[in-house]
Amino acid sequence: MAGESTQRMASEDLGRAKNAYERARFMRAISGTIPFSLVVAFAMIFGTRREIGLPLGVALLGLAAFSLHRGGLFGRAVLPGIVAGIFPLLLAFAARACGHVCMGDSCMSLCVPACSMGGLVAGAGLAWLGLRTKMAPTFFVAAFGFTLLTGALGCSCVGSAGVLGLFAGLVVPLLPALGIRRHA
Amino acid sequence: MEETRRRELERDFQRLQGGDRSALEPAFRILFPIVRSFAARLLSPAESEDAAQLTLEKVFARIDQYDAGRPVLPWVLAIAEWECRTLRQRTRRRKEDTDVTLEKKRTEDESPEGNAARHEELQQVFQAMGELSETDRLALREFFFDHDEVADANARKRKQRALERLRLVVRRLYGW
Repeated sequence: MAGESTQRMASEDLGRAKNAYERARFMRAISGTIPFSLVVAFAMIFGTRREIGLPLGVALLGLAAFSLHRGGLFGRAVLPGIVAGIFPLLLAFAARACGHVCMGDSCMSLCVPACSMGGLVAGAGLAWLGLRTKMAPTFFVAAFGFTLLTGALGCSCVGSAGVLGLFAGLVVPLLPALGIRRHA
Repeated sequence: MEETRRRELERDFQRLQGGDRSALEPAFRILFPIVRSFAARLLSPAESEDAAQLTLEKVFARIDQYDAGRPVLPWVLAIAEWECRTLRQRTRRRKEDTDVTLEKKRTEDESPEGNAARHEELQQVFQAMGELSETDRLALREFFFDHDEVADANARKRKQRALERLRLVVRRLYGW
């Protein structure tokens, strides 16, 4: 009888310990996304259209909170992914500030080349980090997602073309790195 | 704690820090008896259960503060010791508050206003006794003035019944 009562108390205490653990992780995940909300706010202030910035920002912060709460490779991908995405974001804003470049009769926006270049550099950085720390393929995929969402805040400057440029730039260095880690 | 269990616990804590929930139950099962017996040395059985439960909740809530690479047990027992101390202080404060309340009541009763109120109540009781039967009055006289420990069960019952009837009369006449 005493044994049963002790076991029941232990399993009740285990339940409470699990709840305390999850609650704390949840609160840390929410507070962990606060710095990233500054990135979204920065993007909205410096030019991202609201109809694009808001859904992208909500998706980015929601995924960040979820990944931080979940932990593991998803959680570890949040910070490097978003930091990497700031590079194409800033390049896109710089390109917008430059306006159009005209050669002869034709003019073009620098947004797409800036985003492709930004994606390339960001992807290379993530690939280097992932290979150096021997991360599993999930890390590369998750970090790619965060970089794309962050960069898209700026690279939507000429609509989907900028985002596609970013995507292409990211994929070029990340795919080989992903392949290496898959076969490691 | 033996070396293998200690290493197991440290690995579980590192996994928990990374978000691996499957490490929680094994870590809990190792810590639960240790924390319980630690708390039992410092507190009463009921309090030690509370302290152990609060300790384990705090340990798993603050697992991100655990310094991986350092031993787990001293960190856990430091939290346990803090919880035990807090619980002991709370119990002491509660007891002091009760003592203060009782002392305050005693002081109020002994004040002139308290004395006057008690005197009035006593007068009301004596007047209410006038409404009772002779048998009840006799039984109550013994209760109030003789304070004899009556061994006879019938006499005790008479006193009990007389007191109940007196309470009813007092309530009817004076409302308390």
